[in-house]
Order: sequence, then structure tokens, then C-alpha cells
Amino acid sequence: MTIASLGVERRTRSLAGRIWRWFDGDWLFLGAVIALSTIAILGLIAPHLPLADPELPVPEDRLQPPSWSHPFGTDVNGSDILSRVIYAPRVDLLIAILSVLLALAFGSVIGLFGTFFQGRGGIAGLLTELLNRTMDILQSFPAFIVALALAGVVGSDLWSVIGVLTFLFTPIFFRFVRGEVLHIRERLFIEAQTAAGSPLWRVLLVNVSRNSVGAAVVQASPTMGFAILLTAGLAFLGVGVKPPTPEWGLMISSGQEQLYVGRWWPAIFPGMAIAITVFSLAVVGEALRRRLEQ
Amino acid sequence: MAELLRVADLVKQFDLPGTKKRLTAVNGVSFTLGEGETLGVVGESGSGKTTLGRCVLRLLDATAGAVEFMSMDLATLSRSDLRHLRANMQIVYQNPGEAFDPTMTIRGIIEDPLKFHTNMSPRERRAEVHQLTERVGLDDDLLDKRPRELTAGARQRVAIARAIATKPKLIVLDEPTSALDLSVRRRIIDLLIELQRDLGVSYMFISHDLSTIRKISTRVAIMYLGEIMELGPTQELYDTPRHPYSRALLLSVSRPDPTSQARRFPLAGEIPSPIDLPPGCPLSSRCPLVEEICEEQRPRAVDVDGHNGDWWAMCHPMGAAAPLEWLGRLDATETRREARRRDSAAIGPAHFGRLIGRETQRGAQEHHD
Repeated sequence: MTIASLGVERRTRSLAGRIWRWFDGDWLFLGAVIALSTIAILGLIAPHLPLADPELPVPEDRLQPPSWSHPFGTDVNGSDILSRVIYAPRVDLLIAILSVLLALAFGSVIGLFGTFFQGRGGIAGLLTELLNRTMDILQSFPAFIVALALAGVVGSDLWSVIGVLTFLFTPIFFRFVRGEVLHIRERLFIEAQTAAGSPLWRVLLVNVSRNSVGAAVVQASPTMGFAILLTAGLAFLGVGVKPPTPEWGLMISSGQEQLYVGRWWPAIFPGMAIAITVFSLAVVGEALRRRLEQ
Repeated sequence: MAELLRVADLVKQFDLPGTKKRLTAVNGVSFTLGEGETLGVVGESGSGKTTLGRCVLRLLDATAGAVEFMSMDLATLSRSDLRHLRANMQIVYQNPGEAFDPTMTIRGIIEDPLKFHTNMSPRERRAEVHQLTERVGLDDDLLDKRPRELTAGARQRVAIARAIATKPKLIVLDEPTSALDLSVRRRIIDLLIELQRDLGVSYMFISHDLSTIRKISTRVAIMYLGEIMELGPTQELYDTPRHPYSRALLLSVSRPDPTSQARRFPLAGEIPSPIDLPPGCPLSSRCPLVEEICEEQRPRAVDVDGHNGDWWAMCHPMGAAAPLEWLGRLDATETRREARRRDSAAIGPAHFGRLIGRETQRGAQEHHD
């Protein structure tokens, strides 16, 4: 007879137990977290793994199908695809994480200051109106077209891509924070803080911000998925990071020609990596949102 | 008794979005409040009690009129002066669940006013918070919890601890007990009375609960459609209300004594909309004692027999009549049911059948009044 069947509540204090409780039987969420951490950790420790140099061309090994020595096969340059798929997050995830964090910071700050004084008249009111319309205009263009145009203008190294994506994502987070601030600033506890004698800037920076950035933080995860898609898309079209950098979009781009002649492995493996990463980020975002709403 | 608060002809109107109309929530209210005194403010929902409380603390800017607190005109104070003055005027809200930042701990909530208004070190603040929680009868274990983990009664104690943290001179209590169970309500009221005795703080106690007001207030103001209809010493006003509206409101409560001779006072119809206020007395469309002048001119405050400013009512006919004559007229005003009973007794049972049909209809209406 187990303890549980005696009706005694078993309190798990072990780390594994506590983690399991936090996931609350959500297999998809757990799977997504495991997938993401595997991809991230493998990327981080890639230089210490017994992998072939991802950028090293080996002309005599061109376009080998998957085998024991090259589990994912080799690409048109003869580089090992497994190695390239594992190295790629060093670029893809870096771009995604940095651009989303920067956009989250900018979007939250602009959203907080730009929204709190909205409709209160005066110069502050006018400026917020201007800000809102600017954000509307930015968001009315299809994201990928803007990214394409900007990347064409500012160049296509790693930092330019990060800059472009930050610019692109800031309105997304601005929107989320703005929606929350509009709602929060009407709540009674905001008036109560003023009544207690809190200065207005403190109400904004402490009470309003703490209660309104949660929704934007949750949005960070799916936006990272979007960032990876955009990075890959830009690289695919040749305006993003340049070959021979190991990057999923680049690999698909160079691999797609091989699909026509029946060589599926150069494009399919990086494609799967993108699919798994983006899907996992979406799952994590959704799970966090549900937990926040509880 | 030194004067702490003077409110003069206070008006608060709200613009209705999308229209040119304005909603008048508070319409020319004047009163004073002394140190250590409790003014009860009663009225139905929508009578402007809460708006009045917020204007008094300048949490809302009044449309017209003046609020003088500790001999300072609140409307002319700078933002930072006003903020510093808030150490002396605090508020307790009806729903403490809504009035606290859900991300803060109870400790943080009680500590906040100390941060804003004192130069205490963190250690001193910590000690002070513990004293305050003890003072309002809260358990120390609750200090690290979030507001939503507390019961309604405990939350209201937190709200009170926060309000008295800076030893204010005035606390506006905006229906502080209406969200509570009866037993909890009584304990909170006892706590408030005790705190007032010890700290000498003045209360403006807003409520629609007539018995609570009777227990805690020295004077009571009866509000209707944004105006104070009658203001006077609580006991005397409760015993013999002079304004027709006070009478209707106070006699609408069920009495514990079934043999009591006090009768209901009838009002017709519904409260007019605060968007289109009647030009004269706000009660003129419903009052059984209405005269021509009531519909044309807004009444002024008239002292009730011999009381010099501490008991007055806004009523044209009362001002015109002799005190005893006026009381007689109030007492003689019958409800329709009483009139009907008298009529049917005089006419006899032959007419009774015809009346029954209307009986239920009228009964329902009267109940509504």
C-alpha cells in the first residue's frame, strides 16, 4: 500500500519533485523546455564536443548522405551538417534573445511613459499621441518586408540583424505594455497609492510597471520564435548573416537546390531544428501566459 | 472644538464622453468638521457620497467650490505640498481587495506611508509596522503574505493600519464595512471608535448603513442627488428628522420594535437622473409636501428651531413653517396604503373587491419607494 492511497498528502521537497509540481503534468510544456535547453546547451558547449569544424569545407566529402561518420550527411561544401545544426543556435538564439530582450526593454519603457499620461492633456498628451501613431505606422507594414528593407540599408552582419529585429519588435512589446497600463492606471490601488502620499513617478515606476510588464514578458518567448524565423528568412534571401556561418536559414537556402535532385538532408535537418525551436518557444509562451492568468 | 475641515459650495461634474452633457455628482455641498469629530454621510447609491469623499481629499479636482483643510485651500496647493499634506489626510476604501497593489506584501502596504512621509530608517519602519499591526489586531504572520491571501476583515485592518501609520488628522472612511460580514463589521467599528479615542483623529464616515452611522457619528449629513438635504446631531436627527427626504430614508429601515408608532414616509417615483437635474429642490418631483416654489428655486440651508448652524435642512416649506406646525405636517403625511385603508374603512366592504386589483400593484410600488 502506498502512502498516497492512505490519504496522506505527500510533500515532495526534492528538486525533481518541485520541478514536476511546477510543470503540473503539462507534458508539452516540459517537452518544450527540455528541447529548448538541449538546443541551447549543445550550442553553448559545441566547441568542446567531438564535432567536425562546421565551417571547414572538405571538397572530397561533398553531399554525402547520412552515414555513421556524418549522421546528418554533408552539404555542398562537404561540411558536416550535424555539426552545423548544433553550432547554428550560437547565431540564431543569440540574435533571438538579444533582439527580444532589447525590444522588451525599449517597448516597456516607451509603453509605460507613453501611455500613463495619455489623455491627460498638455504637451505630454500630444507626445503620447504622436508616439502611438508612430507605432501604428511601424506595425502596419508587414514585418518581413521592413526587415528586408532595413537589412538592405544597414548591412547584414550579426549586429545589424539584431538592430533590425529590435526595431521591428519594439512596437509589439509597446502594444502589450500599453494595453496593460491603460487598464492598470484606472484601478483603485493606483488612486490609493496617491492617497497614501506616493509621488506620481513612483506610482508609475513601481506600481504600474510591476503590474503591467508581465504580459509583455510572456510575449517574449513566441517573439523569439518569430525572430528565428526572420533571421532564417533574411539569411535565406541573402540579406542576413553570410555563409559560411552556420545558421539554419542559410543552410536551408543552400540545401533547397539539392531537394530537386533528391538530396533531402542538407535542407531537412536545419528545417526540423527551426520547426522544433519555434514550436517549443510558442508552447513555453502559452504555458507561461496560462500561469500568469491564474 | 477646533475646526479641521471646511467644505464650501463644492461642485463636482463629470463630462460624459461622446455627448455635451455633464453628470453632476456633487452639487453645492457645504459643511465643516471639527477635530476628533465624526461626520456620518448617508445616502442611497448614486447620491454622490463617494465622489464627495474623494473631492475632500483632492483625489478628484472639484469643478467649483473650496475645500479648506487645516486652514489650507487644497485647490491652490502645489503638487508636492499636497503630497506632504496627505500624511494628515488618509482614506480607507470600501473594497480593500481592490485598493492594494496585488504584487505588494502586507508589510510593504503598511510601510508605504512611512516611506513617503517620514525619515525613518528601514529598521525603525520595521518596528513601526509591527506596532501598527498589533494596534489594529493583525497577526504578524500575515505581514509577508499578499493581499489576496487575506480575509476581507483582515484586509480592512491592513487598510486601517496603513491609514493611521502617519497619525493623520482626518480619515475618510468610504463604506469601510459594507463588504464585511455582520460580526466582522462590528469589530471593525469598535476598532475605529477605539482608535479615534486614542489618536483624536476625525472621521468622515461614508455609508448607506444607517445603524453603523448612528453608532459612530457625532453628526450626520443626509445626501440626495449630490446635495446635503439635512445635517445635524446624529441622535436628534435620527429621532425627529426634519427634511422630508431624511424622514423617508430613516423611516425606511425596519425597526426592531414592532409596536413602534413611527410610520413610513412616502416618496413618489424614482430618483431623477443626475444628468438632468431639476431646477429647484432635487426632491421636488417626489416630495408629497411639494409647493410651487420648490420646483422653481433651489432651497437654502435653514436652521432647525434654534440650532445655530449645527442642524439645518434644505427645504422651502420647512423654512416657511413654524417648527411645530412643520412636524405636524410631516407626521400627518400618510402613505398611500394608509390612506387607502382609511378610505376603504369609510366606504365599506362593497368597494373592497374593486380595490384588490390595484392593491398588489400599489403595494409593489410602495415597496420600491
